Amino acid sequence: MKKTLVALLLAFATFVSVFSMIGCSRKETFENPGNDYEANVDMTDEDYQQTATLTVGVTADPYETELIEAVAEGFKLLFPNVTIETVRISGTDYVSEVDKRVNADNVPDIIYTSESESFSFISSEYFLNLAPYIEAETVNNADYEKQFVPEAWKMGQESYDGDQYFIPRSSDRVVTHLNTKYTDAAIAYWNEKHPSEALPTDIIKNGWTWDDFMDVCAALREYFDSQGWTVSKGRYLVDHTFTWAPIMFSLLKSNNATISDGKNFTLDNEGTIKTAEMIREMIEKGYIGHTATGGANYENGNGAMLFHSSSAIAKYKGYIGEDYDIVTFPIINGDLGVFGFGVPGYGIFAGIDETKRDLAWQFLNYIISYEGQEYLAKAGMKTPSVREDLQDYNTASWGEGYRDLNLEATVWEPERNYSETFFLSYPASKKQILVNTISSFINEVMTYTGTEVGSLKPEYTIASCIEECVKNLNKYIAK
Amino acid sequence: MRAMDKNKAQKVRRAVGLTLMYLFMTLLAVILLFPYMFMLLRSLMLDSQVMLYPVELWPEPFSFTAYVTLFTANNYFGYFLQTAKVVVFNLIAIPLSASFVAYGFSKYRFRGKRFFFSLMMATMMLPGVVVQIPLYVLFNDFGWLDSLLPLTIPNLFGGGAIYVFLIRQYMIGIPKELEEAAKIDGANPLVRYFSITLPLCMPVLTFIMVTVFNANWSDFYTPLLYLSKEGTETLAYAIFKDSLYKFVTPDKANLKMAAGVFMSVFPAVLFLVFQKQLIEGISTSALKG
Amino acid sequence: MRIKTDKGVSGGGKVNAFLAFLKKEWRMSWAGWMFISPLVIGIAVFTAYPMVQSLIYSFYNYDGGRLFEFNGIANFRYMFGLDFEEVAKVFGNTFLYGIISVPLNLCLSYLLAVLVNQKIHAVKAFRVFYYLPVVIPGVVSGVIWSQIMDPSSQGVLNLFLGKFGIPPSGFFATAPTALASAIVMNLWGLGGGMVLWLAALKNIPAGLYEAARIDGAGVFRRFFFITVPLSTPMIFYNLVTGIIGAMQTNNTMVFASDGGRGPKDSLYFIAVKIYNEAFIAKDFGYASALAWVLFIVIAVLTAVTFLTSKWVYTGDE
Repeated sequence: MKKTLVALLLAFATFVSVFSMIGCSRKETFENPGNDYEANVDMTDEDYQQTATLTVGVTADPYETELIEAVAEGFKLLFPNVTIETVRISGTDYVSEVDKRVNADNVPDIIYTSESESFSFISSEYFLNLAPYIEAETVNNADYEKQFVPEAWKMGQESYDGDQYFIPRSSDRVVTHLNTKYTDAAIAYWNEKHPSEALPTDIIKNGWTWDDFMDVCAALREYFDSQGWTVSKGRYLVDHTFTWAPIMFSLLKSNNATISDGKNFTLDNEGTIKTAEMIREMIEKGYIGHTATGGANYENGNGAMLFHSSSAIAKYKGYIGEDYDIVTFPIINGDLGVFGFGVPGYGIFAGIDETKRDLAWQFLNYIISYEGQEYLAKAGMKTPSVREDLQDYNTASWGEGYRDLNLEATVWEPERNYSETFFLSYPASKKQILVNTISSFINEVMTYTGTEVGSLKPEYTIASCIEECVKNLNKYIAK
Repeated sequence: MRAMDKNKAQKVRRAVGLTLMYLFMTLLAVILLFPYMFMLLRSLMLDSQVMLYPVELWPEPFSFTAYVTLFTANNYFGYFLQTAKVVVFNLIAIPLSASFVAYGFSKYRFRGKRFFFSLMMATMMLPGVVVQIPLYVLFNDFGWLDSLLPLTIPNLFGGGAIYVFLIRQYMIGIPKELEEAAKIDGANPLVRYFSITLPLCMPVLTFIMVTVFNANWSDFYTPLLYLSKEGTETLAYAIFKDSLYKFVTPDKANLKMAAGVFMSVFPAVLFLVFQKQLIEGISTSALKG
Repeated sequence: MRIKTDKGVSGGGKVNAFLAFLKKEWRMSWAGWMFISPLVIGIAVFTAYPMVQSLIYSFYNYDGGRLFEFNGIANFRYMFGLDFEEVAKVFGNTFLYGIISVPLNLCLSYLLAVLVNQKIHAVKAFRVFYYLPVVIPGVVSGVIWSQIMDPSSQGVLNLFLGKFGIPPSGFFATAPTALASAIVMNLWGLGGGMVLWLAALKNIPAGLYEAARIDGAGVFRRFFFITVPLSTPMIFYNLVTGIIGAMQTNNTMVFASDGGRGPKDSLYFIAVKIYNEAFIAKDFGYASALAWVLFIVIAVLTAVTFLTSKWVYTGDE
């Protein structure tokens, strides 16, 4: 009897609480102070001796944890009583995992981000605007604009206006990863078969052009076919991720394409069409498959080339071994040619405990200090530092262990580094959807089915893809 | 004589008709079972064979490589365990909580009975998509994402209108005398529910358990919403995810097929064992509902 | 207690009467309430509350995270304005799929049921064979069929059709064939309808057929004047669940390209769009608005089916 009474009371209580919740709007788990807060960068002895714990959220990749742990070691020399704790945020989608933590009120003090993920974080106001700290440091004679590779530094800003939301840690550039076993053999094979059109043996070098690349592909295709590795067996040459923002925008930029004039979307121009035609040519000639990644299976040693970030060299050297090397991304259109470029980095969570805010800045500032960068490099960071004074891989630590590779490819002609500027005038909240729309455009271009499946009619003419894309861009921007 | 001839002709015609009938039925069975065989055979191929065009049907040689890869290089045993946890919990929770509610609806008079009963029946018509977004937010607030709680805990509350309804129909058919006797002996309602009525409901509960098994076993959508952390995936969701992201190239088709075989074996066996209850249960639920 | 009643006779009497009423109610109903309390809590927490919430969300700009601001009917304006083309497309696809798939399944599964309802040898084994595909999880059948319906001319179904001189089809890979392929694929689960029909047929008194046969009614007359009228409850049940189910189909996510959209959005169904808007584009507000519109559509369809259900034989008349 008592039990039933309790049960009923519970039922009643649940009813009431549930329906009272209906009226409430979503709770705010934290407040973003904007740039309206006191930034203290002058550390006293007492500050250096403080006892505290800073949490740093990183992706599931163990490499990210190792990097932070390495920097933490150096940081301990300055702040002996501060503990740096890494929090691995794992899941299929890093951004939504962070979203979940914000909702559950369980956010680390510092959050890892890459520039593409930062759009979402900035528009959700997760990141503290670091401008007050930078200003305060500038008073203390720091000059961030000069000390850092400007292309990299700026990417921590939403609209390149000085409001810095995250601090780039290193710079990644899209390079060509090679499996020299295939490229060497293909060039030799080609030169033997076509002595009149022989390719120079050093055709694959930093600064090689898109035409060179296509010549090598032609040689590779012949060589692959001669080995019985035909298209019908699913053997393609190149893995690419053309739908990945850094690659896709560098292709568009190199071809002098435009997407928006700030007001209207102007995708229907020669540059875009040329980009689409370039991709289709590769598909028609059987260099890449219809899938979003090329389908060459470079990772398992079946493909000859891969366009991907230079940050992956450790991973691919592990897969490919002896025959592994890198070279710059093929230059499209001479001086106009650019290389896709991105920066991973860290931002401070806007809802951080105020007492720890200055300390968190100290840690970020340490990561990009000369010492901090060297610690990162020693922990295995293979990509160029963001610091101007650490660009030379022969003297800096970041190339260690990989000097036998063509590391020059990662820093060659840095002025060609390019990160997406097409959507600069759009707010961060719109950027992600705009970038995604361009991704689906490229994807549609690739969905065109050419030679492999003869029975299919190409419904995806380039013009129709462009039309569709412009329609969607207009739609999303007005939403 | 003529009558005999006619009789004979009729017999022959019938025999021919019957043969044709069997031929047709066999043909249908072959068509309907072909996808099974296709899946099974291709799961036994090596990746070098499965990627060939024109498509081959007979494995040459037979190989269990795909299955080995599933359980060693991929975490299919882990996915299986996740599914098993969900299924086992729900196999107990849903029949219990549904019969608990159904007992109230079938054996007692109380104020609001008709109202609550129609409310319950109304929820059957409600499309799940209307509630899925707020539920996601709610479970997120509870901190339940990436755990199996959203797939299990809600089932403690009645377990689903259709099940309550089915058990209620069944309970109404149970003679009142048994209950009355226990009541006179002084057994309280909980005891009467648990020790007298529940055991009598076994036939309908069996049907419900088989249905619950199938529903939970093959659900890829709910885990897609709530489980994103690696290692938390259930089997159905893992197959969904892997067929989209991991096993995409033609040489990995054997892995997809092997995963499919592994996943289909359990419901198929269950069906063969419980086919009588299942088919009867489906018929009654359709005809009475 | 006694003191209280002494103080104010009239007021206390009312209170007492009310208490007595409560007591009586309680005594009569407590056990029933106890048994259904889990259900009531469940409906409140997992159905009623979310339904109200999603209605509220549909008037907000809500990204599932921090952004939660009232924006009036902007979501609906977008739905019937800029996004209307796509919304119309997904609803169109969904309707088309439902309108073809549900009756087609009903008819073909009837034929199948008649086939296995004959009193001949081994018919039970055939029933099992025909039903077996139904127990295959949807994900798996999606995976199998996307393999069988390989768009390459060298795919297994294309090779087979080629033997009969039928030109290769793109199946799920080309816009004109995609939806039809999905409908054909759905026919694999015909056994589900077959079982229902079998039960319905069993419920029809054999005497009726005998009588009709004596009256000289042919196969078709017997079908239209006995089988169909007496099976209407089953047909009705199938229609209602079929409509509700078809409107929420999301298994295309397994085999349709481009995140469940299919070529040129030809396999893009409303349930998948809601998922994409909510969990890919992170627009919980707009997704909720779409969900409510879908809910209203389903409610209207169900209501229409119920209102026009005079043809259903209830057994009372």
